[in-house]
Order: sequence, then structure tokens, then C-alpha cells
Amino acid sequence: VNSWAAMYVIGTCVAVALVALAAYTLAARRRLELRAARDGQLWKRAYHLGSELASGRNVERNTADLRDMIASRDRALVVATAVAVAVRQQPDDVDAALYRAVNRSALPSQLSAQLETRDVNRRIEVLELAEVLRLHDLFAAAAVMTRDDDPGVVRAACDALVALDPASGLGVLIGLAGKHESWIIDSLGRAAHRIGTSGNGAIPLGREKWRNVPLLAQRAINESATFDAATVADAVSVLIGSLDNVSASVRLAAVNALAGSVESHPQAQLALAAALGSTDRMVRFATAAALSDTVIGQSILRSAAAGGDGSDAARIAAEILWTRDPLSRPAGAVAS
Amino acid sequence: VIRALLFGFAAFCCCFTIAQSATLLAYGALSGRLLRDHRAGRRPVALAKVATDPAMPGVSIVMPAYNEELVIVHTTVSALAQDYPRVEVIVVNDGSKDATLQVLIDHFDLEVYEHDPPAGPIATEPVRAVYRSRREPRIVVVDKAPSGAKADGSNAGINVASHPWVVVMDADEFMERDTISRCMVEVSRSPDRVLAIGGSLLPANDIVIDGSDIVERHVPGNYWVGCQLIEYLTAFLVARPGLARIAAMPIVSGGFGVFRRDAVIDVDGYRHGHLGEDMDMCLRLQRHEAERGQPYAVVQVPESLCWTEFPSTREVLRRQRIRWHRGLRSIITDHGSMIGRRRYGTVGSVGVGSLLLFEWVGPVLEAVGWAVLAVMLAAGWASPTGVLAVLLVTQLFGMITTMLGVTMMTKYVRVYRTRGDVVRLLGWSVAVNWGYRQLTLWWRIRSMFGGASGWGEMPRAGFRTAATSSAT
Repeated sequence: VNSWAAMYVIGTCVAVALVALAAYTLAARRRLELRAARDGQLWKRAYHLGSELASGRNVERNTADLRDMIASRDRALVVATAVAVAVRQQPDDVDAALYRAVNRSALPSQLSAQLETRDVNRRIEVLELAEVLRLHDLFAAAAVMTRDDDPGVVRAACDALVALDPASGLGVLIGLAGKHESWIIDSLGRAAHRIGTSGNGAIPLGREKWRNVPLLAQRAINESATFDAATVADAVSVLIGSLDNVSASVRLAAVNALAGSVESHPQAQLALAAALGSTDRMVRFATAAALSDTVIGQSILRSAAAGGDGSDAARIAAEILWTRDPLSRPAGAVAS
Repeated sequence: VIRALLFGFAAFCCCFTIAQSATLLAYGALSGRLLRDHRAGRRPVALAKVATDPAMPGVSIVMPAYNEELVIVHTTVSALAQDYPRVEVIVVNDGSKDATLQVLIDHFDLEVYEHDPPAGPIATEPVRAVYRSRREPRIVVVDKAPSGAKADGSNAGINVASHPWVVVMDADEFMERDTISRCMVEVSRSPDRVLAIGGSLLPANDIVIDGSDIVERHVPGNYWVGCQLIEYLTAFLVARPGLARIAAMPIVSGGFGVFRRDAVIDVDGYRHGHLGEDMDMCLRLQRHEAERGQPYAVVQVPESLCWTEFPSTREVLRRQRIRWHRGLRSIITDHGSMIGRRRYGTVGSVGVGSLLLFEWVGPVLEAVGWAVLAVMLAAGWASPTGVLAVLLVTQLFGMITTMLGVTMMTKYVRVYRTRGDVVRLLGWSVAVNWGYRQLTLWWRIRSMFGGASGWGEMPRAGFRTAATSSAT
């Protein structure tokens, strides 16, 4: 009798829980609908402002409006996210007025507090915002995050650093290259390419960057970390080393990354020419494919194909290129 | 003595059934955080990045099709409308007897690109021809000899895929615009670890589409479809996110799954003649990586949605469930050795272990337990009120787990938003435990003792379009 009585008690409790869960579900729906309606309006306004600023329209008025919207602590994240999406979807270059507006607002200080949270996804979101909106005040915090335990946070932090200051970002990525992960090599290649295209590897430092230097130095001492700027030559050296990595994905990422610097760096040209003779078939063909995209790369392919010991990949790539584009056919090829 | 033994056994079965529900509740507790991170409206910056970054890896969407003339164009259009920047759509016509191929040729203006192409890295039935569209370069149609199995069609598609990631899905499904992007956010965050990604499947029986958009979503009114919806919500929003959080995912649904192509080729693709080919693929991929000592992750992205036509009649559903349970038997035979082996980690002990315990042994124990209670009732060894109390308690626990799926959907994924839809979902979450669950239990028991085998055919109703809907 006692066991049946216990069963009744348990049954009653479970039934009450069931009814409570149903009521909670309905209440949650109502609450979320109200919040979605409120945030939806805010999102639309912020997105519109972001699009306007990114295109350089009505800068003064829009800057003031954006600052007002960000000033409210509970709305800052929604506004920043909407502006960041607008920036991402901007087809042309983003007007510097947008970066000035967000950097001078309360957003950096509000977001830096969010970086302290234990929620990994929240930290990644904030780092993504720092990357897209170029929030220079978060540079030092992002540098520290490159040593986080979570690989997603590390990646987001590296992307943010490369966006905020490519040379420092390059230095951090070179330091991480020993982790044998393909995304590091991939990011390294992109950062090197970006620095390479900006001229001589010298990156002009903005005033925002200078503001962070003392903080950066202090952290470097406290945490035995160095965030020294690196040159493209350093990056290319690391990429060359990665061509012999045990991981196939890292080797392929290195080939693609070096291809990005092939027009500006003789080191990259030499490395890719050598990779055409690699013992790894996949690396040979990936190198040939990457080289076929550029004029310099095509000339490397021609040299390799013409040489008596040219690799199979170079020969096939050269044949395909000459067949498709008669203008690039070397002299004498028609006669032969 | 017999009475005491029967009483003990019935009590054990009752506790086992409650433990099964309690385990689901534990998965639900684990999945709460994952769902919070993935909730609707979150990750817009990451999504915008993935959708605009030309450096993201390409994705080949592979759709094996057999007699899908009613839906194939809609499915292909929804795949092409993905907001992910680098997408290729590969439709594999697996010897259809209807006009599937002709419909594709007419609609997308296809021409033969290659006759009798060379064999790919995975062995398949011969491919007759590869078609390409004159006006949409992202479409590839593979016409191959019939194999009678989805595995062969999937393998043929994976062979011709030109991107490093492949999505394997059914040809009767409709994707949201951001289905692929949401999965690829996971890849962008951890490209070297992610091995496979699963999304969520929902019923397309009561949606209305317009071109590549879904313009109306309603909770189904059909009893069979409504009950299946609750089952799917419990699986995709309660169980699998929880399992994914403890790295114990034993399955990425065959209806929609994203895989690293090189890993799939390494394990020789899907296995022919396997009725649980999706679970088999997921477990073989994980075994392969574990045996190589590589770190890997199988991820569940609950908000990545794919709509598919659910069986709407008892007979079709019965055949499907019998096939699934036979597939489960093959899985346990092939991968049962993973249980308790440290090398395979939680996916072996918890993932495959829970399949064995709750999906294979569970139905038997539950059925036998009810039979024993019935015998005791008939013999006068148990009071009717006592049996009723046991029934109520086990059913109430079952109802809480099914209702939890509805709560997760309402709070995080938010597909069905109107009050009426949520109330109807709550109603289905109660109804599914009275009749439907017992019937599927019976089908599972029967599948252990023979009966029809093979894939069988599911008659398609096709998608409801805005034009047909307004005409109706």
C-alpha cells in the first residue's frame, strides 16, 4: 500500500511539473514575442544607420544618433550587431566615418566588460564585433584572448588582431603556427597578403593603436607574452616551413597562403617552385593550381614544365593553360 | 514465489522506463546551454561573415533522387538559393522510373557534359552521364544505373563533388536560406576539428513555399505527422544537442548532414545495403579518426533547418520504423564493440551504449513489463488502481520529455511562433504518449521477428506552393 501511495505522490508531482512546463512554455513564447518586436525595431534603425555611415552619408547626424543608441547599456549589443552586419554586407569600402563613430562611442567600454564573461560564445561575438567595427580599444584584450583554451576564441581573437593591426596580428599568428592548425596558416597568408599589398610591409599606426601600447607592454611583462610586430618575410618563412607539415590540411593551407604572396615576395616564388617537385602528389597539384592564377605563377609553371625534370603537375597545368589561352603559349610551342 | 518474481520484474521494467525518460531529461539539461548559444537571432555577425567571406570553403550539396519528379525542382531551387557564397548542387538520378531526369533537363536547361565518366574514388554503380546547366553553372546532374539504395547515389554524388565539404540530403527536402551558413559557422570556428554536422528536420507537410522561400509554417493537423513532429523535436532539440555536448553523437541524420569530403572518402563512403547507413557513416567516421588519434568533433546545429515530407499514413510510417529498427540492429552488430573501449571515448560508451540500452533493449523491456502487469492484473495479483498508477507515472514522465522538446523549440528555435501553434504542439506532446508511442513500440518489437525488408516507397504529395495554396 505504501509503495502505491508513493506512486500516487510521485505521479501528482510529475503532473504538477507537466502543467508548470506547459504554462512556462506559453509564457516564454509571449515574452520572446514582445522582446523580438522591441529588438526588431531597434535592429532595423541601427542597421539603417550603419548602412548610411558605411556609405558616408549624413555623417554628423548619423554619428550622433548612433552614439545615443549605444549609450543605453542594454541596447548596445543589439545596435553593435546590427551595425556590424551592415558593415559586412557593404559591397564597397566602408567609410572611415563609421569606424570613428563607433570608436568614439561608449561601445568599446561596454563590450570590454562582456569579454570578461565565462560564456565562450559571447566572447567570440564580442571579438567578431571588434574585428568588424575595428574597435582599437579592444586590441589588448584581444591579444590576451589569443592564449585562451577555447580554439574558437583563439581564432576570433587572431582575426580581430589582424583586422586591428595586421603586423601585430602576424606576429601572434607566427607564434601560434606550431599548433599545426590549418586556419592559422590560412590567416597568416591573408595577413601577409594584406600587408604586402599595403606596400613594403610597413603598416601606418593609427592614433588608436598608440593609445594601447602602454597597456600592451604591461601585459607583455606580466604574462611573459610578446606581441611584437612581424614582417611579411617572417610570415613567408613560417609558411615555407609548413609545406612539410605532417597535416595535409596545413600543407594545403600553406600552398594557398604562399600563393597570395607570390607576386610580391621572391621567397614565396621560390618556395612554390620547389613545392612543384614535392614528393606529395596533392601538394604538387595544389601548387600548380594556385600558381596558374597569376602571371608570375604561370611563368614558374612554364619553367618547371620546360625543364627536363619538371614535375607532372607543372606539365599538366602548363598544357591546360596553353590550350585555353594561346597568348600565353611560349615561343616555339606552336612549331613543336 | 512466481508472484514475487513477476512483481520484481514489473518493478524493474517500470524503473527502466522511468530511467529512460530521466536520461532524456538529463540530455535536455545538457542541451539547454547549447541551444541558448544557437538560439534564433544569435550569431548574426558570424553568419554575415560566413555568407560574405570568399575564403570560406565551398560546399557541394548532394541529393540522391529516385522517383522525385514532384519535388526535385523545388528542392534544387532551395539549395541554389542558399546565402552561403560557394555552393554546388549535385542531383544524382538513381535510375528513376518517373520523369525526374527529364524535369531537371527541362527546368534547368541541362546538356550532357560527359558520357560514361571515369570511376571516382568511391566504388558505385556505373554513371551513364553527367549533365550541366547552360544557364546555372552551379548545377551538376549525375545520371547513374539504378542501385536501389540511397548509399550508392550519395557515393556517386560525393565522387563528383568539387568542394571540400559535402551536404548529403534527401531529394524531397526544402532548406531555409541560411541552413548551410549556420552549419558552416561551426566550420569557420574550428575548421581542423569538425568532422560532421547535423541539422534539424521538420515536417514539410504543412508549409507553403513561394519560389525559394517558405511563406507559411503550421503545426501539422494530421495525427501521424503531428506525433512524428514531437518525436523529432525531442530527438533534435533534447537528445542530440545533449549528446553532442558530451561528444557522444552516434548519428547525423541521413536527411541532412554536412561532412568533410576527404574523411568520407577515407572510409569508402556510405555502405551498400545498410539500412542504417546514416548512423553507420557517422560512427565509422568517428572510429576512423579515433583510431588515427586525431581530435575531432561531430556537431549538432539545431537551428539549421531542413523541411521534409513526413509519412502521413499508418502503413508508410510502419514500414519506415521497421526499416529504422532493422538498421539499428545492424549498427549494434557492427559497432557494439565500441562500447566500453577507451579509445572511442564517450561516443562508444554513451552514444552506442544508449542506442543498445534504450533503443534496442528498452522496447523489449517496456513491452514485456506491460505484459507482465497485464498477467498480474488478470491473476488478481495486482490491483487495478495500482496498475493504473504505474501507467500514469510512466506516461507522465514520458509526457515531460516530449513537452521539453516543445519548450526548447518555443524558447530557442522559434519556428512555430503563433499561440495557436504552440498550444497545438503542447497537445501533440501529450497525445504522442497515448497510442502512438505504444504502436511504434509494437512495430519495433515486430521488426525483430521478420517481416518486410528493404526501403519501400513513400508516395509523395509534393510541396504546397503559394499559387496552389491560394487556388485552394
